[in-house]
Amino acid sequence: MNCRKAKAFFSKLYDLDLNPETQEAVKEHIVTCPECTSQYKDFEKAIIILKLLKKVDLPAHMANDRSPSSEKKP
Amino acid sequence: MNADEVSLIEEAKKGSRAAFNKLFSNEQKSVINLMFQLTGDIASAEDLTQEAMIMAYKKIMGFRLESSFRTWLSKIAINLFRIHYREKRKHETLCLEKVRIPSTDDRPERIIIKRELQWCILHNLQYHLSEKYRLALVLRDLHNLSYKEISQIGDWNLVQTKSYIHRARKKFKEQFINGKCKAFADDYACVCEGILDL
Repeated sequence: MNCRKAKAFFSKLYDLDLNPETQEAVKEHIVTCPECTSQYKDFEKAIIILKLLKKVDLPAHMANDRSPSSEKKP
Repeated sequence: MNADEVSLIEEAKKGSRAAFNKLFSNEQKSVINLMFQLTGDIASAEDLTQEAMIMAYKKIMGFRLESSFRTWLSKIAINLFRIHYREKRKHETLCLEKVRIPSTDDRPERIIIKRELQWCILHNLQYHLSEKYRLALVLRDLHNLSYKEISQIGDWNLVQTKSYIHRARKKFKEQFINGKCKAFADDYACVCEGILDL
């Protein structure tokens, strides 16, 4: 495993979508390579940050009127 | 898809508005959030959600239950989004006011940084990711859909789906970490619990 290959697996590693052998090899590389350690941390951090995007609540007029026949608001 | 959902779909296909309303109300918040995450604009998200509801009601007879109702409805909404927004927006049109950030009821001292971080997330989604990468990232990391569900919604095969998710995450990460937004992220990045306790 080298840095280039390991980086290509970051997303699948995050999703646990690798076979056990590959997962082990990628992890082993990441924990022993300072650059990949740092880059994988940033990768995870970016996803955590993305998940902080606030959910919007349903506007009252939509929550109260779900009829498909109701007219579209102007 | 659970038995209740199948039953509601069958009733809706027979013309039951109540069944359709129940199905739709279960997914309405998910759809409006999806549209907000894709458009970055609450008013557009409301309009698209409403259009999706009307379209779904008209087309429910043709729904063949090959996916969940949420997947089917999301796909209708995304197709509407694509029609309305395909030709829209370039980075140079950006100004802070154009990205509307949901209101927050958090403590006042944290609001400013939080709003800036929210703005950064929306900004990166809207202006630094292509449409397909944005869609892949939003469906995977904000809606927690499976690869299969994402491939159904995006009309991609599984290999494409995984590739788009990977590239989208990489691009988002590069933009976030290398851009000015990093400073806002760093405020919350030192402690795992802190990150989640915005």
